[in-house]
Amino acid sequence: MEEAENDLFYSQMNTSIGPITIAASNQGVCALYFGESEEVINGMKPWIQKYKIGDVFQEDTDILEVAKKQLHEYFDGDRTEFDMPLDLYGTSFQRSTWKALQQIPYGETRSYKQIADEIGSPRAVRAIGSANNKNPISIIVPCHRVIGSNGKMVGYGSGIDKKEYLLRLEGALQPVSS
Amino acid sequence: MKKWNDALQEHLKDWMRFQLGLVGTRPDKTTPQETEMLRRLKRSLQHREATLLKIIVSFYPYRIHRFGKQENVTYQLVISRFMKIKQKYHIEEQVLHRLVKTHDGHLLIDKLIQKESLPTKKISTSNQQVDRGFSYDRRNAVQYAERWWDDYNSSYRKFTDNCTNFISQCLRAGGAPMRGMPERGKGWWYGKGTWSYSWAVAHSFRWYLSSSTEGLRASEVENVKELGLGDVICYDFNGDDRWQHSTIVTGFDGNEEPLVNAQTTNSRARYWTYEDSTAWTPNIKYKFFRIG
Repeated sequence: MEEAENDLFYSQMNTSIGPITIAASNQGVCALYFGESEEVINGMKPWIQKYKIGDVFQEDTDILEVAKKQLHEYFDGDRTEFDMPLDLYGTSFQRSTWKALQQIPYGETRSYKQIADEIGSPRAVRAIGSANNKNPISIIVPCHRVIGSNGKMVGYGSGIDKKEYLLRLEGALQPVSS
Repeated sequence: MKKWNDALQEHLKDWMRFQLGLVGTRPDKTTPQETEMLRRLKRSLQHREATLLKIIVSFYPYRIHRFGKQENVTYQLVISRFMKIKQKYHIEEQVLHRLVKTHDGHLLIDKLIQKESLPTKKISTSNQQVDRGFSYDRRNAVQYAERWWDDYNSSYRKFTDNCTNFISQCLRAGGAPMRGMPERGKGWWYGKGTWSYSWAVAHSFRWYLSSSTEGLRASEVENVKELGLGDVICYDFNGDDRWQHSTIVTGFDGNEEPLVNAQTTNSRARYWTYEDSTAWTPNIKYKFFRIG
């Protein structure tokens, strides 16, 4: 039987909205958070242990080249869909929410209510918000495309400014006029 | 940059040509286990009088590890094999996670990185009480297996080794009743955030099936040809009485032998013997269970 190479590799990239840290297990990309790698990885440790996603953390600049390339293209406005294996871990409810998020096309938004209806739990609007916040693969699983029923920007774990930036990049928000 | 890409493409072409019988020499950059596996696969195809008509592969790299001139790439490999046995056609599919190591554009080795089976844990013992039968909806179980073999239903937890969890979900989709909750060593059940050992651990599952007289039940049969759609096969790859893997019958090839779906390695319509697995050994043991 083959040994399982269970190391978790991560890497930081700099983008127009600041540093992003990406991590991949041996099954695929498993995390993308805003922030510098050291801080992000420390925050991820309990979750990694809980789901037994990897044993050893290793930083490597090139390793996530494929994901980084696609993200750079996304930030340049040249990519509307990501194409890479993902390794998503979470509770049942979280995973069904994230699945629904992955169905929202580039440049569109949905309300928390619509997502709740989509996954067949119309009264779970609050829980959707919480699952949205716990999304481990920001941008690629587009939790930024969920907004309040009144069209307002509400809660984004990494800050509303980032959410607005991403939606504006995708053309889902009109430029603010003063 | 990307020197590994050409090397991997060439290697995969060799790997396919060898299976298709277009070249006699095996690809030389696989591990000894996989080289053996490829030989077994070819012997097995001959034995089944199967013609491999076509192989389609695609690969999706997601980790590229560079040091000096060496590049190690972790990638997902999606394989479809088109087979013909006695006028009957079928397509076998697999999704593998693999690691290829290259040096300056030369391929050093290409190997599988995931285990084919679960580590064994506790044996479940169960108190049997009243005998209550159930009617097993084989078609629903098979439909579930076809829908989810390379995906994860979010109603259930996803385990790093998901094989028996997947088979249990199929049986559940076929209407198999749960019992024993909340004692993890008892019965066969999945609840909120917890589950019985028999639900997710291959060894416990195998012993549950041969001992249960209530709820989900099964009868052991001697011959693989007695199995029908939705029935289950358990595997002890090393023959040491630790049961490591479970699959579900989802079809039959031209010899009326079962084709199975399974997870980790995610497989569809795979020939039931697992000779095409690196986990296979000459001491392999099987158990065939008729469900219901």
